[in-house]
Amino acid sequence: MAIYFDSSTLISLALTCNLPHLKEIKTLYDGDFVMTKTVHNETIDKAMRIERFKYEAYRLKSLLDDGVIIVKDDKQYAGRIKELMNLMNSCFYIRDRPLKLVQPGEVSIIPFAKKNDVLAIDERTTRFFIESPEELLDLLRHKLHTTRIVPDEGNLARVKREIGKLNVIRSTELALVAYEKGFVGNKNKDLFNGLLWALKLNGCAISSKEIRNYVNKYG
Amino acid sequence: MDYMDEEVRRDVLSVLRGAYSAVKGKQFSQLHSLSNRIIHSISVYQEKVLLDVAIVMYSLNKLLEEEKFQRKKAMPRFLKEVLSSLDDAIEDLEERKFKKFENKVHDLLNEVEGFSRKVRFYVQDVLDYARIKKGSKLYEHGLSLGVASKITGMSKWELMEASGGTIVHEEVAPISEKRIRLVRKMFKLEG
Repeated sequence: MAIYFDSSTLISLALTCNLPHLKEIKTLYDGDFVMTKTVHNETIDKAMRIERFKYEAYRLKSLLDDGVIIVKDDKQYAGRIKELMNLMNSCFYIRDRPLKLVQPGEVSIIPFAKKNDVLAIDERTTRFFIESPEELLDLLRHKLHTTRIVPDEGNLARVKREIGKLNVIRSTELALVAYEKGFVGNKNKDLFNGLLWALKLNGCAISSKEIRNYVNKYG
Repeated sequence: MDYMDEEVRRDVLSVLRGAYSAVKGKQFSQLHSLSNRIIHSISVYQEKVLLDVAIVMYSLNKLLEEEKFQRKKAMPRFLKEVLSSLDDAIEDLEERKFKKFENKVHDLLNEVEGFSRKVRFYVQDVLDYARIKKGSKLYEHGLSLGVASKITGMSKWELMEASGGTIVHEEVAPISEKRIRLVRKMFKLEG
């Protein structure tokens, strides 16, 4: 059993200074925390070249140095990654053109995931593809102000069949673990609310309504 | 670029004509909404030149609306150059001279960058600032963060931070009990 991290989840945890809590919650988990080489490139290598994010990149790198996160080479799955990406990028058409919605970075963790593994994805589009491609269609129609987006039912069914059963969590679920275990401080609803808002404001796909429900139920 | 879809060409022409009128009539706030008007076309066609047009509109809005920049000595000349380049770009696109149109948009980007350096916009380059804003808009429109990052040339770090401050995630589906049950099991939490 392993958690495969997408860049988006590592970035929101890094931007909110929550990486040390990742180290703490790893002690509760029997499986591996994994990032692919592509994710390594998008998070650590890229941020090392940007002054604004260099420090976060070093903090993330230290989790690798300490063995909290391990890196797996996704080269072995290059063919599968391309195949999945092409499939996901030919699910919706507008004016007879396929909408190219995902990139290799987002798909690179998917081929690794076996039945009991989990993907950690804060980014909305890839997660919608896995959990509810119909919602993605609604979103596209709403945002692009057109009903002319035509789904390719065959490809959508294939996406559902091939990746629809994968388990997905976000940084907010990992934050719940850190909160419940007292790693972020003494438990109180306001702290939990602040923690979730920090993640939201740094890119985790969670709505304010969902945060309210979350805090009321688990805070 | 040697071809542009007719619907997109008309869309971009309308945006450029709108920008020309806005700059000439000093209605600079209109440039902001003009920059968003071609986001749909960028999402579908993912052509660099379309993004560049949006970047020019957005950066012009930021530079021209700022009162302290309006008083700069370099401003009248900058406005003249921008109007002349917009006029040329419109003409090239009307005549379907796509390569020349692309070069003219590039000239506009250079003019914007040159002026922003002169007036010391912020620590951040005005064009990068605009790219991040437009990248966040593309993500809002349904493209993944990776695709938005590839089109704009900005990192996921910059786009995550920018999109977090918007309402992009307000339409995300409500809490999934399945996810909570899963993490409780994974990390052996009670309840």
